[in-house]
Amino acid sequence: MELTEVEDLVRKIVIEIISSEKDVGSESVTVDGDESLIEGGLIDSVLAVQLIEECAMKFDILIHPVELSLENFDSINKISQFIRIKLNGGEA
Amino acid sequence: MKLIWGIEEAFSRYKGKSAVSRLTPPGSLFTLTYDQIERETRRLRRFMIQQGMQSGDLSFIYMSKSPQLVATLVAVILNHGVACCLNSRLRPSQVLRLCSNAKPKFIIVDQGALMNIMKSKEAMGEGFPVVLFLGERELPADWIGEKVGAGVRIAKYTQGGGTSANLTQDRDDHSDSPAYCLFTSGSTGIPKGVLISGNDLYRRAKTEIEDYELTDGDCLLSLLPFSFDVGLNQLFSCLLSGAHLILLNSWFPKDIITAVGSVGITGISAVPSIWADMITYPKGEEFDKKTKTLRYVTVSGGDLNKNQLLSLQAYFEKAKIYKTYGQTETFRTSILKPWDFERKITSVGLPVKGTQFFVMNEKGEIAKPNTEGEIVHYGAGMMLEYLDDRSGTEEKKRRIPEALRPILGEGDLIYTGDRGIMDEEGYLYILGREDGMIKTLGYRVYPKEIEGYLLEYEQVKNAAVIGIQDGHKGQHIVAEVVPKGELDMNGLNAFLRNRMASYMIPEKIYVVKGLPMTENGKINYPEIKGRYEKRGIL
Repeated sequence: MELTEVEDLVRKIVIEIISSEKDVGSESVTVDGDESLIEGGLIDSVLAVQLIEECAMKFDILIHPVELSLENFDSINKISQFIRIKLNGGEA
Repeated sequence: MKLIWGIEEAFSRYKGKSAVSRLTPPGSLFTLTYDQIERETRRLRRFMIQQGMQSGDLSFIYMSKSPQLVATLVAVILNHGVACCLNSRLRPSQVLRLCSNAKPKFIIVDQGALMNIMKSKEAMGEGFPVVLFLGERELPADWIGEKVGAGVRIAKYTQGGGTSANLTQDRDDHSDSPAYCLFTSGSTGIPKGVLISGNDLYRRAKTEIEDYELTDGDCLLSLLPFSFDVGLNQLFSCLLSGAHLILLNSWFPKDIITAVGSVGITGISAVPSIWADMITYPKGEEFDKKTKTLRYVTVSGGDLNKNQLLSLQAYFEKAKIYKTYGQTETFRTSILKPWDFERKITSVGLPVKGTQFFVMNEKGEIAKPNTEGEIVHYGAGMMLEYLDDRSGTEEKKRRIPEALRPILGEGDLIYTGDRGIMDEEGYLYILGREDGMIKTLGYRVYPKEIEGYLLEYEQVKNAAVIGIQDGHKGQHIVAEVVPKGELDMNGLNAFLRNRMASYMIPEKIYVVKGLPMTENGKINYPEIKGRYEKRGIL
């Protein structure tokens, strides 16, 4: 899977979570690739768990607890990089 | 008011010392010292007064967690206002509804929050609070001024643009007037505003400083929101003891451990869901070195089962563990101190200093030791009242009944709605919520007890138990379990049959990926219940 494809799907997951949480249509949510999601408060610590579960399911990857950190999950770009490495069989 | 004196004294005593930092992992810190917080609160207070803030005015604060948020809520309190931090997870529609119910005079927002509420600006009508915007960004011209939507006023704060409004000393004491409003979490229906006096906030902080032995050498990790009593009290105990508070917006075990190591955290207050994740997290390299400064951790806002508590103690070998129990309406009722931890591990301990509790039986008498009843709280920590809800207040907070006055004296009691028992030594054990109690085949069963058994099974990571109404039998017991990896259902069923009375065994056990959580990290039971009731199935 190309990085842009991964990014598109990650963006879709992120926007779905934010728009359902904020009670607005998904078309009115825009998130930059570098925008801080968890640290910046767009997604709180509890919702972050949902985000990770969605990613694990949609990409069919197993995410280990040690891989859960802001470093890997705080922005669309970071998540995409992380998932790309996982899909290629690496340990992130 | 003692709280105000205490904060002002801390400003002058701790001056250039770090007060509050926001930590962005792995190690970047944005810090305000006590001096800087004092200067910022002065500027904010002038701005607020210029915008018309008066003693007793309620202000919602809808901002992400940052040192600026701390300065803002302190400024409202120093202005003798009533501060109320809203959980950042509230949806704009909920914020608007709270605004029209509670009628705050102001809503103080940062960039993100303003964008959120402005999406629903059509819904803001006359009477919407004045919006005080503390962000940097320039706003569209048609947002500033008197008429946004239908008559909303937005005022923008600029740090440099000091105003000349006087910070006149209010000579009234305001000790027993409300200084803070906490909303109960939405898991119990419509959130209720709980009003707390400045004096009580002060007492709560002083008690916490004493219990956790806080000094100006401490560095505490703040994970919980200021819209939650435990998170808020950690902030005040920190400010009043000269300690340093580190704000971290992540509950991932890895980030927490990195934070402890990088700034030398000495204490963490957290809820069970954070610890449940932590104890299954591999310690990794140099764990002991990273966590060597950690003196204590607290388990508040729910309980862990015995095995989890023992694992937590084994995980942080050198740290002391404090367990506390309380409600938004009572703050903290009881505390289990480290020296009682092993002996009384399943209890929530003895009364917090200045408070008392007892267990009341069905006849309204003080129950004998080891018999079940409703937990009733009195003494320090009681809320003043619910915001605009007299009948709710009268239901929750009542005068001590005549029959008990010879023993308890005059005053008020808070009826917690929690069921519990007290042992001969006065230690309290929580059975569960009165309204979560499941009646099945004539037995009374508490979800917590069944969840405890489920969690004892190796492959179960988390569990929630609810009762679903059934016409003939009373209630059906339904469990949701989150597996650690694979889950052997037959094995689990056999395990339960060996340990529990047959009437307690859940009729249906559903395997789920995760449990819905409230904004404070507690299991959201009404949501789970709603799922099954809506489906009408078992």
